[in-house]
Amino acid sequence: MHRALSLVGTGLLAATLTLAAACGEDDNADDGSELEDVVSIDGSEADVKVLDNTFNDENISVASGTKVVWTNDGRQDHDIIPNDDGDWGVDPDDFEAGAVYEHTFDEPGTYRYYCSLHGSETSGMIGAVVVEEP
Amino acid sequence: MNRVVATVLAVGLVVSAAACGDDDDESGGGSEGGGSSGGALDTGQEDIRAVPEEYDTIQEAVDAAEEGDLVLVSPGVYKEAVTVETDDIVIRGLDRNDVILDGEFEKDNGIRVLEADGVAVENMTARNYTTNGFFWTGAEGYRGSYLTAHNNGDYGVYAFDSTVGLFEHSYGSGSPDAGFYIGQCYPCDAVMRDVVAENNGLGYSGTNAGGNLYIVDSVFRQNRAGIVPNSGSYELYPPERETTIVGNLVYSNNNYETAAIDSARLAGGNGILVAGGNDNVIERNLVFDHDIAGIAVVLIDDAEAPGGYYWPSGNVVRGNVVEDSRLADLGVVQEADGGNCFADNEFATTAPTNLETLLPCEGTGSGNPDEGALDIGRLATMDGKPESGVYQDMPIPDDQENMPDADSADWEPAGAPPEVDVDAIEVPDKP
Repeated sequence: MHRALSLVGTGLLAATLTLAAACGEDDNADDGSELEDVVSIDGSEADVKVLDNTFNDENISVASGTKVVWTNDGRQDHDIIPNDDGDWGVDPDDFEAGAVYEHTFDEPGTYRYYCSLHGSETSGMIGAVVVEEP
Repeated sequence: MNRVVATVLAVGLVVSAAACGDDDDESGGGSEGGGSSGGALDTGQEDIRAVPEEYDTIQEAVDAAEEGDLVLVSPGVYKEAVTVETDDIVIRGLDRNDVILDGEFEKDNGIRVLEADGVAVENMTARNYTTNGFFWTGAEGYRGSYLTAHNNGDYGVYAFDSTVGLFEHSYGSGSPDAGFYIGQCYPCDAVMRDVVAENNGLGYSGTNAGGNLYIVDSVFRQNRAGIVPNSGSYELYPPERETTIVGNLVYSNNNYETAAIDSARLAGGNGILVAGGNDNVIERNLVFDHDIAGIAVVLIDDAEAPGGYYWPSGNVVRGNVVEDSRLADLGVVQEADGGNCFADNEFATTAPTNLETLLPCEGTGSGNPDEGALDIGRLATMDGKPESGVYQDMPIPDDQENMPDADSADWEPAGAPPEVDVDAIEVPDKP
């Protein structure tokens, strides 16, 4: 798995979002704010460690069709709530310490999420998956 | 900023104003950190957000508050989970024991402060939350004063990834993890003083915390384990380091009836347990009545740690009074060059034997580190460790001391914690 740190600014991400919106997928449209320290992950699977109380890495970019796997390596319960009320994510009862949750992102877009126990949509324990065309 | 809270009479006037339709939360009445002095219903008064007189809920008042405002809460049971995202506000209860946030074992946090700096919470109780009573995360500047947190599912009073803080005059009980927690910060630049933790899994936990961090003049009793600063990869920034633990009363932390996460079960029966931490100072504490060790400095296994363990190093254990520990009053498990030291303590037993001769704080030690070595197996295994109790069923505490003059005292957002005169702190008296 190749991981590279990058700053996703207004260039490629904006273009991606514009394309997504044009294709009628604006459910995933970002709010335009800039994500920092986005880690690019190659391969068909991308791992995110869920620590107390941080998603590590917080922001990742993957190709569409990638399965993202979150593992709760913390001691506490957490959850994963999509900011856009998408039909993915996991409740705390199903995501206790040691639990694994996975979701495959097929459509390009920026998928922001948070842990409702330790954050809100915009602060605290938050994360994002930037899904790009392969 | 140094303002005077209006008296109950003044709050009444605010209520009257609200009834007349003058409760426009967007009116800009707040002074944005300015320093108008109270005592009259003027701009200073508009800085006070009274609950429930002006706002039905604490959350509504918090959402309306501007920097520098006071959210003043009258007695009542508030069944809400409050999120704070505004810098430099103060949330104060008029009566610590009668201003109660109740999570009904359904809501997550009583008050949680998300990346808002300078927020102070004073003089109230948070109970029955599934995670935490009072919770700051990502804050620079925080303060909790005269808080009671009991029967909460993770922590009582909790600062995470936050710096420049103060917990004082507060009480935490009935949490499976810790009554008080300061974690994932370096330097933390924080002080915890005059707090009481009892009936928790851990009295204090401080994972990956340290740097100008003081735990002083407090009581840790009848938890499973008392004070447990530790390293762990389940949070960022290991190891734990540079915590100063001085003048605390630590006793009878063998309460196996508490709710307890696994690490609390493992640590049970210890007074002060440094687990994989470095360069901590543990001085002039009174520690007694423990099934395992009074003060122990040990390694902790962690698959993510180099070599699979966080080893303790550079810890100083000096001038403590330690009594009645069933395994050892003082103990250590370290690497050969760990650099932990023990000096000037009053004790009866150590593991290894002659510990102060073996690992002195000045000069070169001598002796056999294998003679009477601490039985780390007593700590490292879950075998025979009592199961967790149920946090919902933990004892309900008695009323706690109120903040003086809560209805008239000045309010001020959280700033730098007070300087701690460590040298002036003496070994506490036995209760």
